[in-house]
Amino acid sequence: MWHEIFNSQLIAEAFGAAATIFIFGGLGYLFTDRAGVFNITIEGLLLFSAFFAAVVAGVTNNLLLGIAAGIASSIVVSIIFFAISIGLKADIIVVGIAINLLASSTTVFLLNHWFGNEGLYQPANLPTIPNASIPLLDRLPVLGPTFSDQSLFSYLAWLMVPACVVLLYHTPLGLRIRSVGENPEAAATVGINVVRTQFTAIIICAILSGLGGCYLSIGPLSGFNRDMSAGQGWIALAAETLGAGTPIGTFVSAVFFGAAQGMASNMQAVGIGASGIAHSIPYAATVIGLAVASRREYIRRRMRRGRTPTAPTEAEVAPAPQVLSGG
Amino acid sequence: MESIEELAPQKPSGESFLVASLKAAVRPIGVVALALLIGMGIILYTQENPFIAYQNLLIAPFQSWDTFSNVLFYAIPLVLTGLATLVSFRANVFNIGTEGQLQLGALVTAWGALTFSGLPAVVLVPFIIALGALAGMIWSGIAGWMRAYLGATELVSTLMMSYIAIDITTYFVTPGGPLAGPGGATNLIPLKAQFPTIGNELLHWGIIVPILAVIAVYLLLYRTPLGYEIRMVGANPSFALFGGVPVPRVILATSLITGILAGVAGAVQVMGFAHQYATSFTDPQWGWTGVTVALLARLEPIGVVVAALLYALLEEGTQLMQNNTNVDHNIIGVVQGLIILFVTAQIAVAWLRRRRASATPAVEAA
Amino acid sequence: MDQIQLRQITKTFGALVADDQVDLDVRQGEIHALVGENGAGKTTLMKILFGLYRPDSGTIYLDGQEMDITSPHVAIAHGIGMVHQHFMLLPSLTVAENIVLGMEPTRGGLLDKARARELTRELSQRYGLRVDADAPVRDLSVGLRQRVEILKALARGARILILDEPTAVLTPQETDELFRILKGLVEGGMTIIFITHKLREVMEIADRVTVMRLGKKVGTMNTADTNERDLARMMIGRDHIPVVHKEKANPGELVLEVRNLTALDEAGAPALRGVDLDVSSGEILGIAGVEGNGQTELVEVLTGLRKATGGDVRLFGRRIVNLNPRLVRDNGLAYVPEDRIKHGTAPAASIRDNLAMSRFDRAPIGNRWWMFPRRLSRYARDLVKRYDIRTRDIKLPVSSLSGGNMQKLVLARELSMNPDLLVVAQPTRGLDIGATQSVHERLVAERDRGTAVLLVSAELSEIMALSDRIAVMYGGQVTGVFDAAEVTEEELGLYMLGIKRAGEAA
Repeated sequence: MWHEIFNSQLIAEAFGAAATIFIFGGLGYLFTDRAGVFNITIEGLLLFSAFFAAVVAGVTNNLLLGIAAGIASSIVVSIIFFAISIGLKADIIVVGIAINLLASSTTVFLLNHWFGNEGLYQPANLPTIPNASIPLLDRLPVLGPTFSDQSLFSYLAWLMVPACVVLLYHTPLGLRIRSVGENPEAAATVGINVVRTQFTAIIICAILSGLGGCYLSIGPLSGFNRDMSAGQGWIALAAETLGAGTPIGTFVSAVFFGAAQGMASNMQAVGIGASGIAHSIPYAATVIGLAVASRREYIRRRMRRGRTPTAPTEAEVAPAPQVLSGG
Repeated sequence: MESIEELAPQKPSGESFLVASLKAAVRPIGVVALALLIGMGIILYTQENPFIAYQNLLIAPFQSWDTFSNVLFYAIPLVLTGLATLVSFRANVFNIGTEGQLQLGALVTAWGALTFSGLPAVVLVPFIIALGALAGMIWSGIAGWMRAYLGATELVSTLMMSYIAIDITTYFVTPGGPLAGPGGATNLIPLKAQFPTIGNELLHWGIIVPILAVIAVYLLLYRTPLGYEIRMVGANPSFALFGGVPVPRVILATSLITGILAGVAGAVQVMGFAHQYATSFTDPQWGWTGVTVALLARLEPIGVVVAALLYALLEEGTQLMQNNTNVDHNIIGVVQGLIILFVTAQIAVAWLRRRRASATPAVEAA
Repeated sequence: MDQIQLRQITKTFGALVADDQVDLDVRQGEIHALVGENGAGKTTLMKILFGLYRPDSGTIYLDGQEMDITSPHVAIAHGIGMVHQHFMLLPSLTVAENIVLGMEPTRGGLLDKARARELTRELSQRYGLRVDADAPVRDLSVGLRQRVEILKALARGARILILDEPTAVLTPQETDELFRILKGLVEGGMTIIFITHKLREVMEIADRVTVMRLGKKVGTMNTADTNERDLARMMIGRDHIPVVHKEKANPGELVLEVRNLTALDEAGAPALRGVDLDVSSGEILGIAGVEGNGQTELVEVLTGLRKATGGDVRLFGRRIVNLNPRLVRDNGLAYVPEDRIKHGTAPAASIRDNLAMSRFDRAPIGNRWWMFPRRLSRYARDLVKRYDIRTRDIKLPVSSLSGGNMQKLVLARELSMNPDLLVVAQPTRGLDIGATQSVHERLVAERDRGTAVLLVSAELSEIMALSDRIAVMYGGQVTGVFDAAEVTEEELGLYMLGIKRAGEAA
């Protein structure tokens, strides 16, 4: 029985199907986080892009157009998010909540209005992202299934990790993003446009989240149903937090959560645990992972500082983003 | 804006707190109107008649005691979850797990009513409400403890716990589960554990609970030392820390209070509305709506009543609209999202205007 | 023709006029000092020159050409560099990364880190400002960080260097080093504008000086033609800089005893290596030292915000080491933190609520279970009157107060506790002369009432003016304790730099 839960198929799922969304969403959130923008719209962006990707792909019968629509919708929503939260300086958390709400209600409304079906859009010949196997690697023991018959977007997600490492740590843009998040005033005094840099980070996040959304609807699940993001955007956020705001850390955490999700579905297939309890495993894993990561960080900080143990630091107590208000 | 305390109304001199509070609640009405206008446009787009739609949505609920009593009825859980969210948010603790806490509270209340049905009503009623409160309190307290003593971000943990809670309660009542009765719900709770109705429709005597809760939360925030500590932690946590406030304990306290209120909300809905716990308990999204109610109310207890009534109005109006027209009720969801978006943008614009008008010499001069 | 000409520059922030039709001329290759007290408008004027602010009206001319300096980017492009009072550095990045930020060298689209390092080394050698290109800035001392800031400006081709209160955080010896560097730069053709309120330095290094007061320019002259007293008179319109009137201290019994206190800093390195201190009632003990030698950690340990790893702290014989802040306060310690906006107040909350913090659950405001709003208002209004806090309404947010009034509020709140020991850190940072005097008087009055006062300040002049005894901290230890009346600034400077220690031969 254990064999049926913990097998190489689980590893494949952990790195692939389950983690892909967490990787895309987590990396997207990472850029905004490092730029000092508290962007909680990942969940909503996933939903918007999933919807428009599926609809456009289905209606035009063209996969690439669908992907383009998914990314485009994510960008449009992110621009609105930027305009209101950074442009007008509205409370960024409230704006984020509003966008997530709008994502849910707008997609359901359009789903109903355009297709007369409140729950599901699943046309028969919906073009989807193809799967592929990597030759040679797919013959490996244990890891073989991880490289066979995975969605192309899963491979893409993996490639995004080193890409983000390079972007964040080896390009001028990445340096500026990090500086803007750490000390926007200092960045401004060397002539960096803080707002524009944050906008760039938001757009990068939009593109990555858009890719995640595409995978969600025109990937293996091939279809859109209401609220299909189901909290995965939030798990992506947690993955970035657990990963200490680094691309590799985010990837590792995403795989961890992916494993939890894979384990849950395996358990369900085998028949252990009512569907409800198994379904909650990824969420429980997130909470435990968060607790462990926070505790590790907390112990490390406590040993370094010798601070009174019950005193939280400012960073813990108020996650408000630092946005330069200018002259 | 840097702290949630700024969402609360600024009180210019001379104005009583009540007036300032009401003003804060009323100011968003302009932008609500804008959002409704957009909703009108969407309805037109779907080739329905917006005027009939809005007549049903906004006017009809006031036209009879029956419909108005329904508005009050719908407001009951929203006031409670709004207050629950408010208490945490005032301390800058973004506890958004009230949905899950409510569900657990509801389940436990139903269980309590069924298990201890032998007790006299006088004892049973407060007892099962307390059970619901306890369940919510523990569930919220876990995330609160993690935040207070581990620094784990509550935005993620309360959310995850909410999903887990719903999975747990679903498990208990789906056919085959420990508390499952007929068709995806527990058995009906005994009559003596139910709130009797007022009038012919849905309103029930449980309305007393949110009324008491509003008073209690107001007094807590503005008349007790703990409330003072909560507000100061929200205004400037290091200030509170340096002043000797036990910040982690205060954070934990807000989580417990939030859980209690959310659990009570669940209890009241079981006892006054459904008379059982069912898997469909998550459909109305009382917990999530409570978060937006709290934000709309700019974190003031009185504002919560106004905002909750607004949402309740939309709820009853949507029912009427669905009965009498063909308008897609999902539009209301869109309108609600727009309302929040516009309200918060409007707050920001007003704040920007206020900031430009006043000097901040300490920060910028010399 | 002068290199820089500012004509009729005006800048207002809401109701406050920071600069009022100011004219300024700076010659190429000179060191030009800009003096005035806090609030005179010096920093605002220079921030306009550097493009951080836009003037409401007025013009800027560089080498005779009219300029519209819309951002630091533009200013930098025209050879203007600025070293700010609060350093604009990224602690997590290296020295080289900080220097090239905004003008990063690239190779094929990627950061050319080797080139950045090379650039840093070139600059460092050319101007004689030694730094380690690969060191993370968070590990650097204040003096070294300032060097990085200067290098940043030089790396961008600055021909005009603006320095805002550069010596505020330096020891006397580090100041000399800085002046040597500045003179070297001037020899190479640099123009330097130097904001300060330390007149002695003006006389020492500047060629010409411009005095500002309350947003207006009072006058410009050669330093050779003037002296400190005249400058002071122009700065504040009085003939002398008022010194706080202080009677000789009458120290009583021992209030605070610190023995062999050890503690770690943020990074886990030892910050306090065995600190010994005594403060008696009715005296002010000043802690002198360059920032970063353990003063901050000492204050944090005393107030319960940081754990001590060893040693003892006693207040009237009661152990208070490693108690939480609340208990420490209950034992009779009051604390005025160095950052009144970040730690000392809640700017968004009302004046009334801010005043309540030290007694919100006690008489007269309330008890453990309840707060009485009317009593709170009465209490707050009483404090406002007694401490002369200028405000229209106690329900207004604290952010509506000026810096001086905010500090008065913090003092009012802390002193209303009737503490046995008052710990104050940087009490007059950012305050103008009027507010500074008011705070100094309040501290001396408190001392005369019998309170023990522990004063930590980076302003040596403040320490010397207020303290009865002075302790120098260096490297996490107290390296010398002096009678304030008998020690010189020079001597203190030597101890502050660790060149001398008590108990060693000179």
